[in-house]
Amino acid sequence: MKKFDAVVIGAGMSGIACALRLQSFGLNVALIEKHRVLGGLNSFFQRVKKSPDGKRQGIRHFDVGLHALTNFAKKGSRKKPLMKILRQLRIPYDSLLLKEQNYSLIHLDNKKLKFNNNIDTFISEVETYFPDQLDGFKKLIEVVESSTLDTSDNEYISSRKKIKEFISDEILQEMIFLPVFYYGSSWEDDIDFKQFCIMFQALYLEGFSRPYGGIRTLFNILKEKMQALNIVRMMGVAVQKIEQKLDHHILELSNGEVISSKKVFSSIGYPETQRVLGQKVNKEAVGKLGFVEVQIFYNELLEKKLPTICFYNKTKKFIYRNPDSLIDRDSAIICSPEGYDDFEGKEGVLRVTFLANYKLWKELDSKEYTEKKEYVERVAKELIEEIYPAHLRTESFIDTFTPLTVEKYTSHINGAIYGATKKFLNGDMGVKDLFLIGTDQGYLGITGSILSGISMANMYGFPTRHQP
Amino acid sequence: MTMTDVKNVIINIIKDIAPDEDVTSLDENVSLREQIDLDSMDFLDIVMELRKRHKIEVPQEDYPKLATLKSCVDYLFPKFSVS
Repeated sequence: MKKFDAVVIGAGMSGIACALRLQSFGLNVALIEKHRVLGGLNSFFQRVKKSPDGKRQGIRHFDVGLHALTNFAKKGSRKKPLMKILRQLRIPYDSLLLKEQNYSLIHLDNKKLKFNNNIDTFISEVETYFPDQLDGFKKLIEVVESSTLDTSDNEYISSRKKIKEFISDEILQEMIFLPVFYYGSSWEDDIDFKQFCIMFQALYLEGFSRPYGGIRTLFNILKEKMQALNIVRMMGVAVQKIEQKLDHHILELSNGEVISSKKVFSSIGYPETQRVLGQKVNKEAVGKLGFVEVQIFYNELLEKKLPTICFYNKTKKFIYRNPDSLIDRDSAIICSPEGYDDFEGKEGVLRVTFLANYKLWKELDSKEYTEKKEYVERVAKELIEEIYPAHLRTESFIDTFTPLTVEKYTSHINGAIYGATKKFLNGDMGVKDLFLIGTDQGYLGITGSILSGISMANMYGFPTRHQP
Repeated sequence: MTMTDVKNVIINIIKDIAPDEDVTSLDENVSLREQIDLDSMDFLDIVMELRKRHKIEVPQEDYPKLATLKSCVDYLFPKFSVS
């Protein structure tokens, strides 16, 4: 039986970061990934690009997951999460080739608020459109800036209630929540206030950027690091069962192998980890929020003035919950990869994301599934025409993922992107020498998930005594 | 190993863990935390590299002794002379 000091389950952002740290401590580490590709929730793929008469015209690249790298920080800035992860993984800042967003937009009913990587923009928008809320908004910023994350504190505080201490205008409340929920809440219609502070900082105080070349750029760097450190990678292998022994765990793998490890770091989610441990799954904690995303390619680049990300809600009330229908047509995120400084593409791309009901998608047979995907694609195109009316755009390609796709690639029950509604900030779900990392540990966004892997590795993997 | 050698050992480690920082202009009497924003996670890395490269152990209670370049040298020099 192969023996390891630590096994990391899942080669997404948090798993890779965790494995890199553990291996650098001198531990003997295995990284196990169910799929043949790295990335989990944040991945990429490519398709051959063909002309209308079927001739090969090159390759089209897709990013899955990454709309934007949150927590932007300028080179040389201090005490920022992005700088911490780069340093901990020893990635030089410049190698990420970060391009800043132009601006993003919160569009609710007929109100629009712009924000970018300088919080003053957002402040002045609030001053213009909600002048009586300005003081409260500034106070909220102060509270977020001074909030420190106590990882031993798992108490849930409703942000819907808490925000009333600062913002009395309900429209502005909704507008602030719109991006925050979309980019990281696993709760319906609310978010824990600690998570709210993390997201507020990540989205509004620090902002968005994107590596030139998309998520691949980051993965290529991480891959090289893993190769350099000789991390044992088991790809296309799932962990089927974990059995706890006195001072180690026995893991049964889908390829028939059985391995042993002193410690286990699991990025597959809280209920999903319960499942492999043979525990009764805490059903209440299973996330309900699924998404559908349509990626539309156009023959030419789009207008430069489009927002990098538009968070859209048709009505005054933002409803962030599992919809009663296949998708919630009234609310969406529209991401334009061209909304960054110095975009490298030759085709225009827009990505439209809707909340989606996993169960309803799951019930469809394969013919209906294809039809419904086409229906969602039509809805996405209509929405774009409605909110970005402009010159004629001709589509060249369209691709759609559903909660079933997410389930397949992330193994999250219900295809719930943001995982369970219960988070474990200290990584401890009550099983000795087994720690949660990633989504259900609770740091959010791409930067957050990397930080999650790093900090749990540091907290539980650092050898305290010399081991000869 | 001389005091200067020990100092260079530390500088080389810092150079590796903080590739974006200019380590040539470090003031040896000012805390590293302040000068180049090293936090507790980064100090773990210094400890780890000392162990890996030079088999030197720094127990957790001694981490504060790594605060400045000078205090690092004062603290580590005797450990290097033993090894």
